[in-house]
Amino acid sequence: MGSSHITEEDIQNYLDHNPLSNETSFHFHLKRCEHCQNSMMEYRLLYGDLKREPDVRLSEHFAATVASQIHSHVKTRSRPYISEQLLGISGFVAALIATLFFLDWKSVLGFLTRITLPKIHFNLNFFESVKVIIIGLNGHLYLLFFAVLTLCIVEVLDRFILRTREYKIWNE
Amino acid sequence: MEENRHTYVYQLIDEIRSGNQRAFQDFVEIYQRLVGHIVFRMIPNTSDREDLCQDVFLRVYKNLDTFRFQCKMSTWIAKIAYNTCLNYLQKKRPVLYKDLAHGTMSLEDIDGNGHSPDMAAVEEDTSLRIHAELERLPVHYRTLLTLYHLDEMSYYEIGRIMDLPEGTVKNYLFRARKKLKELLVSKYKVDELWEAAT
Repeated sequence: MGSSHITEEDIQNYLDHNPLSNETSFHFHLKRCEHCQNSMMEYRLLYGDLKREPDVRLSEHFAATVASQIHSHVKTRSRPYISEQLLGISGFVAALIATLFFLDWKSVLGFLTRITLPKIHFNLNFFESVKVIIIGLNGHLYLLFFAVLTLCIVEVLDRFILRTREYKIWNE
Repeated sequence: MEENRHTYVYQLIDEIRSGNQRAFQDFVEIYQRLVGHIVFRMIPNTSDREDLCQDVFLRVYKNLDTFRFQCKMSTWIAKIAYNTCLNYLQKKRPVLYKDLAHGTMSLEDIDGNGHSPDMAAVEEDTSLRIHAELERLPVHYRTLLTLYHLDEMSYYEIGRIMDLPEGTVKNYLFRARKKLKELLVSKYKVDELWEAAT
């Protein structure tokens, strides 16, 4: 920084508590340079002024007036809730049907019977557990595939149907 | 403290969603300062300001179901207020809106003249001095300065509200303050400013 003055950007960064490129030379220069001290004082005054509340004059009963205007909306508010709940229930039922349809109950029950045996359970480490689960599926890996697919469908429904309304407000 | 306030706001939201009108009134009381800051700084037409504030809260109410707590409630409301004001400026004040295009806004575009005699009288009042000079900045700069200094929002939050990258927010803030300081110093002596501040 030496003989050249502190930049206005550095002064603002300092007042904003942002990191400075060279803090030591910044303070060293500021102590000795009247020009930069004046500049710093001008910015300090500006920052103080910017904190002053503007003259926001809303009517005394503003909140009550706004609240009274929403009364008509209150009666019709149940509709979006019902549609969302119906969509949620439909998604759950679809996922359940898909799971039941593709599930090989014999292999699953066989698998469950095996893993509840205490002897096997206590001897298993993590990798062996995974191996047992895969063998327990009796080669029916498509079950996993459809479970993942169902979750993806539910996520897509949520993102593009339900949350779209939220994104709308951000881009209106 | 902040956490208590969030919990209280979330409780209010639940009550509003179940149709409690009184809860919405409390909710409005909490956020009317924030909305007032944005609307009063962005909109030059004093007669429309309160209507716009009402409009903002009605839009908040209508869209409350879509709020998923992905950001702060204040950021969400400020975004709605900002967009409502932009829509208003686009419809009512096409000339003013010219300032708003991000890429074309420059400090040279700022009008340095055109103070009415009424405005000059207002500026005598030191508490209004800064606000009078702020009026001469482009609407984007005014909003940035308001959100940063009055509402104490971060670069990230302001960026989300105004659809600007954080770096641009910081850069615009720097330019806005520099221009504002120049306007103030050119008009008032530093000693005068210092006396007013103390």
